[in-house]
Amino acid sequence: MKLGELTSMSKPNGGRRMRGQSEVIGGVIVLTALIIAMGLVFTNLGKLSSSSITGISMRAAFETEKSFEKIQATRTSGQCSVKNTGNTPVTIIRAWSNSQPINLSKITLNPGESQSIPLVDFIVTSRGNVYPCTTQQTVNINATGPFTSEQVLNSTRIKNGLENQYVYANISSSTYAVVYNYTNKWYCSSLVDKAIPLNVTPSIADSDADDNSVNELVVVKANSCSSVNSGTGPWEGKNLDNATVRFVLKNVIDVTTNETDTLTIYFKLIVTGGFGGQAQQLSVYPVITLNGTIVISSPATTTAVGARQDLVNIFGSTVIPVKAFGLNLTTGTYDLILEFTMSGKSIEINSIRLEYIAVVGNGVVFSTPWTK
Amino acid sequence: MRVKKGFLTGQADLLSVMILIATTIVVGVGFLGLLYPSVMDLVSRSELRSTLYNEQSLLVLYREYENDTQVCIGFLRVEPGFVAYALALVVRGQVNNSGISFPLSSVTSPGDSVVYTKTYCLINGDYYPCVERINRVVYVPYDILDNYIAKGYPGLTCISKSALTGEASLRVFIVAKGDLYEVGRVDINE
Repeated sequence: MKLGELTSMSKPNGGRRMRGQSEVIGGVIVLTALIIAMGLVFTNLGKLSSSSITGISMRAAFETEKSFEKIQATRTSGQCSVKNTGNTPVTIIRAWSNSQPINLSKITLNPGESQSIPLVDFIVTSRGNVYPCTTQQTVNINATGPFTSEQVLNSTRIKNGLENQYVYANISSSTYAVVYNYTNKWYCSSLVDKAIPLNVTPSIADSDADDNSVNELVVVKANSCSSVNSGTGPWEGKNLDNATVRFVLKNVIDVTTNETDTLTIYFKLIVTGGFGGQAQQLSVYPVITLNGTIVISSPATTTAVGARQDLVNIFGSTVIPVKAFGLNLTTGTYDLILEFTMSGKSIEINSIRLEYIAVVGNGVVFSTPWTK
Repeated sequence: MRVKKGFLTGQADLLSVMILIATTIVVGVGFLGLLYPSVMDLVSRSELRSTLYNEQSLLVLYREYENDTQVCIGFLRVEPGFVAYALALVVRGQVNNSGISFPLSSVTSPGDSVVYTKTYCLINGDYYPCVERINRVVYVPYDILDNYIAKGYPGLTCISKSALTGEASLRVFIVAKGDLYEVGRVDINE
């Protein structure tokens, strides 16, 4: 084959191949341009997004710190005492006095620190919180707190009360006596007896039904203490759908001030019965009444704990906001009435017992006959 | 001679390829050139938007003090920085900057500048030309910016209640690319 033939043969194929190459190269260049353009767009969109998020997160952090700022500014003898009561450092930047802003040299207070500044009306922090410099107000809250052992009526105090006051139970329009075992001796009280130590041992198998080393006040099947004998057992209710048990403790509460705002009463009721083996529903609706120069009643909330199959512990409390109802719990001695309305289906009650009562309120104590 | 003819033929092919490549490059660069302004415009707008959104987040406005005669508004930038803020008090759709003062500034009566540029207001989170005719603004004095805003502390402006003859709001603007953009607003009731 001659060279000219070779050349002429290769020309058509070679030309086509090169034309194809140039299209590819052109395509690559256009594609590169597009990629660069798109890259620029996306990079800047990304910058926009991250920049906006940075600003928002800084603002969020600022607002959080601002909300944590807590300052107590109090007027004291011609000055304003400023204390940082929050958990973040605070910088006071200016103050207002007589409707004029005053520049302060930046005062930074760490948590818990305080400093006095000249008397002003308002102070402004670097985060834009404004606090008035106010005269300190003494706030007396004549309310309740956690009850202490002095405020609990059980053991010796129940025994003292039984000896000196009338204590009894009303169940479905009948009146029953109550007994209490104190150091292995039984004491009794009823509507007609300021109780006396019993010379007999009533037929009560267990003076501490829930075995927590605190004996309970037990309602017995006798109207008066004189009719309690060795065969007298606890009051029982058989096949009941409902029953109302009312414990009446005479002259138990002494109100020593007219300033009582709220009164809180706690109690523990124990009901033993034939609950074993079957699930039974027992509803208990307690109402606490204070009976004296005025009468105040309030329903109580309860928590029931079934410690054993034959026993239910019912813990309850009520808060009586005396002042909120425009009542004045005037000084004097009050009876306490704890009424429990129980309902269910064919309930078998073997005994009803009261383990403790606690009373909490400003100037409210157990009266002397109960505590001596 | 036949060999020489073949060589010339090859040269022609090479030339045509080079021309093709050159044409492609020219077309490609031309295309890029065509695309570039659009891309740069998009980039520029996105940067502006980013800046404005950022400034919105960083500007804190709060009511600091009020009495019978004045309402004082505190303003601070969460990230300390020197940003020239311009204020406009809009009362019933009209600008009335006469009531604006800066009690912490040595500049007793800040100038009421005429706005020669476009003003954009925030409407539903986006920027549109202001519905109200914002034709005058008051620039926050330099000493307030320098002593407070640049250090992250709150500046203060007070508005005389005598200027509040109806529904009013204090608008805060920044200048960006020669135009005024709203970055904050406080409604002030009479």
